[in-house]
Amino acid sequence: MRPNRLDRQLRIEGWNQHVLENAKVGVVGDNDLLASLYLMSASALGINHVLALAPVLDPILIAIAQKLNIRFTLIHIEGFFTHPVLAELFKDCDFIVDLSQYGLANKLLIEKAFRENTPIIRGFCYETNGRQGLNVFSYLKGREWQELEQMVSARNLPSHHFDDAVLDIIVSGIVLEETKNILMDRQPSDELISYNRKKIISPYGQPRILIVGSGALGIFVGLGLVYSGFRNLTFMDPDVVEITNLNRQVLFYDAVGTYKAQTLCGKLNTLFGTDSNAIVAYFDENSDIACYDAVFDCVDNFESRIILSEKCKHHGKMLISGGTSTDAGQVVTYNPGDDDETPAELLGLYDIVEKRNPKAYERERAACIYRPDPAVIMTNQITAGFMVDSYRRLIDGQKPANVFYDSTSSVRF
Amino acid sequence: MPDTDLKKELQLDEAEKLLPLVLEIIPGHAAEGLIDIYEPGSYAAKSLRKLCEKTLNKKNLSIEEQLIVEDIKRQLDGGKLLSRGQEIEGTALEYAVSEQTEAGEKYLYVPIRAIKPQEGGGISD
Repeated sequence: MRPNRLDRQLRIEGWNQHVLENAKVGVVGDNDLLASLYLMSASALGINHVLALAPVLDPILIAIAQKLNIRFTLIHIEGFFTHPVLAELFKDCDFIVDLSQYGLANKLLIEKAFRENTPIIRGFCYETNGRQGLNVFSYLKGREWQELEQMVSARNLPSHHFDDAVLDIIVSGIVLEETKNILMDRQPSDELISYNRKKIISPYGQPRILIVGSGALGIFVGLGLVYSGFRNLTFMDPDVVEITNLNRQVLFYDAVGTYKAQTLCGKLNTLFGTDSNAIVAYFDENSDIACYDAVFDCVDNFESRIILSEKCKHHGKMLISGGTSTDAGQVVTYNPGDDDETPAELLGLYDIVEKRNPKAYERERAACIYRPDPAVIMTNQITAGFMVDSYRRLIDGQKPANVFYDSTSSVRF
Repeated sequence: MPDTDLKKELQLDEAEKLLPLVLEIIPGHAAEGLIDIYEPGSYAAKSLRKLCEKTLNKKNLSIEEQLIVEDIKRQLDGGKLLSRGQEIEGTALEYAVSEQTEAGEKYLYVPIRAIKPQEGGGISD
């Protein structure tokens, strides 16, 4: 019998957990967080067999990967992919994920992929000419396209390179989405998946941030904020952890039955030395946001999103609103003084809620306890990464575009 | 995704305002949308929303176009028309960028996406 941990993704139409569980995945990493973030999320998704060649992996993220999924087996070979003979290590792998930042590995892997018909998913973040961004491309034999030029790092040998944990969170989510597509015989994107923006230069300071919702979005928003250096965080959520959360709520591996807000706050304080706080409560009209500088909306229903929008508009607070489904997500920001419309207004949430038959909606919500909606890690991880990146841009004085992510489209956003 | 400075990008000179307008309504993030072309003089005074309604109510669509309209309507069932992630208010010229065909013919282009907001995220899912 399958573990309940994966229940929510097994509900996705056409989902094939078996191929994920039996796949052998090769990972080439670098001296940064990206490979470790990918491994943690891959473990949550139920991928069990990984061989990673990387100089170092993050012990915190790897420990989470191993605690989330008891069948997760990781063979870690410390080093860089700098000689063709190392390709032998990956001879049993179904495909290779290239997260390295040196051209030699990129070229050796493309050559191996071409010669042996092994798919390669390549992802990385970069900084160049005052801009920072990310690229992801899935190479299959026959795709000897111009995009490949952009996938080879300028520096040939391992060296110090730009790394940003928030962009890494997004890259690893997109690469995992492509992993799933390749393993489940779905078409991986035939475009270079790309995002870039102006380099963030302003120091962040220590704003007081309220994160409403401590589920999958809230966890990855928390990780992104912590990795960015934000310390003054408050998490708000009334719910307790359920076993079915554990396919995506990666910090709750040992916390079934505990309050999400308290557990998330405790994990971040213990693992990352933050001083975050928890409020076990619903966000409603009576919630006080006066003492916060910014609010992250990570809730799961339009009614709460409307209240969050209205309160942030009334109090003149920055709001970063994120929403997800199994294959899509959106990030809409509100910067008082700059934006006329709140996320609830822009997305037309008033119309949606008004058209709902309240009784029918209540019945649907109640029925969800028995027949819950499907959910998966990738869209939450990607959306949360964009939420934190949008916030960093706002406090840097930039005007981030609202992000609409769609995993079924080749361009994605 | 381009990091657009909309105000800068969308500033059109007077000559460009006399170009034909290509309006494309795209369901979600599909690669292709429903395309409609408005001749100069036929769109400048109308709101972009009205143009979208007109485009969506077009008759005599091909089978491919009908499928795209069905996709758009699915998205609009609880969704909205947005241009570059923003509400469509005002005229098409406020959202248009100047482009040209391979043959060098210039036109104005306005992409509109029918986006359905996602509800999920965290508290009790």
